[in-house]
Amino acid sequence: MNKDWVLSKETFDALLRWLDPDRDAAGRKYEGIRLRLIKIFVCRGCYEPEDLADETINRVSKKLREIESTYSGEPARYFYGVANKVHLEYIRRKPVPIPPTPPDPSDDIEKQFACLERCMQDLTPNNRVLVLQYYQEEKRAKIDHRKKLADQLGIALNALRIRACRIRASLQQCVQTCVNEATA
Amino acid sequence: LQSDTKEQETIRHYLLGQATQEDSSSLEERLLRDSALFQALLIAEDELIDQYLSEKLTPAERQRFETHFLIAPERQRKLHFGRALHKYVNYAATSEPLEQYSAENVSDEKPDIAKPPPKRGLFSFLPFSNPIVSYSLAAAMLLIVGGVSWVVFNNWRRQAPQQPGNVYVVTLTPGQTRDLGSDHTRIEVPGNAGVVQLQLEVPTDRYQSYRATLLRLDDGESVTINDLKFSDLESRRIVPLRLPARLLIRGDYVLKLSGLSSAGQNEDLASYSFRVIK
Repeated sequence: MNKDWVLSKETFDALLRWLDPDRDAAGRKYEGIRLRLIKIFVCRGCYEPEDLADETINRVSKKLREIESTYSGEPARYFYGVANKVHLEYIRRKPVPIPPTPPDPSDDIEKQFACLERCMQDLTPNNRVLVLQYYQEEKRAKIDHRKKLADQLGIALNALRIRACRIRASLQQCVQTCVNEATA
Repeated sequence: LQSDTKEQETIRHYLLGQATQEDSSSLEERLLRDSALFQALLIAEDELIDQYLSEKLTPAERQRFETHFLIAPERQRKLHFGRALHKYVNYAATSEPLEQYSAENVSDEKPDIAKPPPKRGLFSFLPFSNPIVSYSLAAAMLLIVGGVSWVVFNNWRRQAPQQPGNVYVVTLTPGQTRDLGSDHTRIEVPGNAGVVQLQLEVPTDRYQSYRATLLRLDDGESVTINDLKFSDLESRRIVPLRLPARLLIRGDYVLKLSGLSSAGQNEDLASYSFRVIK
């Protein structure tokens, strides 16, 4: 992979214009595509998904002048094609041996738990209750329980799932930052 | 609805590395364009992690989860976080009766508007400590488990618990060590009981306060309650311990009581074992 090539401001601006004439919308699309590329590489078991996603974006940007006037269709499709090539190259390289998942060291668990307590307090009361309600009842009829909770909130079950998932992601981010600060 | 279920199934297979090449390509291509699908994938990841942690995956899924799903460091971090979240939720569920404020505070929720803190539950005064710390006590506790005899106050044979407050009262007395697997003392908590009050008979009242650690043997979950006070009840020495009934799910339990001496040291005092059969 050519990692020496650097995405210039001009090229990046051109990429954004290609994604959408409106710069804000283009920025959102860019972020969305990058996030999803990372996820795809994660799902394929890649060890450095962010690097591979950035490499994909760089290659698309580099090709942009050539394809801009002739390519028809959604840019996302083009990204996907390039991502496949980047992935092929990745798996052709000698894979780095990946160590097995280490168990959580007990002091890490303690730190994480303490941070989680702190981060839970940062949630709005309603979101905190929602998390506690949503993830309890592990050993009971969870689906029924969640339906009931969705009814109480006046939202569809799927909307409840999405909300819980987003709160969980923000909590994880908060805990990660907190643990890093505690370790530093 | 059927197509939703099929899609969820495809996502699940994809996450476990079990989808066909064709399905994987089709899904990935759509992932880049379809926000709802991407969100569904994130949800499915969380659900897989939760099912793994609560041992609800089939052996084959578990194997794929460990050998495929967990390869990426991001997923390992998610798993570690999921484990902490599970412990926290279990811990919170024992210290606050969630259902008491769910109806008041959740039903009219508007996501961006912070409301005043929820009303504290009936048990919020209980100073539960971090349950993780108490895991280490489990092995020692098994060696010193005492037998239990029990007396139920106020006509316990009736199915309905007493009014008001649906408090179900049981007296536990430390006794001889008994085989945990066979003849446990049995506690049948009525379905509509909100609170179980364990009256722990103690041999001495010379401690400033008492600490109880309740261990569920089936899954190793435990809670510790500090700062319990002695009470003289009809000439018997009692340490009352109030627990949400929902905490006492079916299973075998060991409760260890220690006393805080005037020198500030916790001294083991008594152990009680019982089986909940509700």
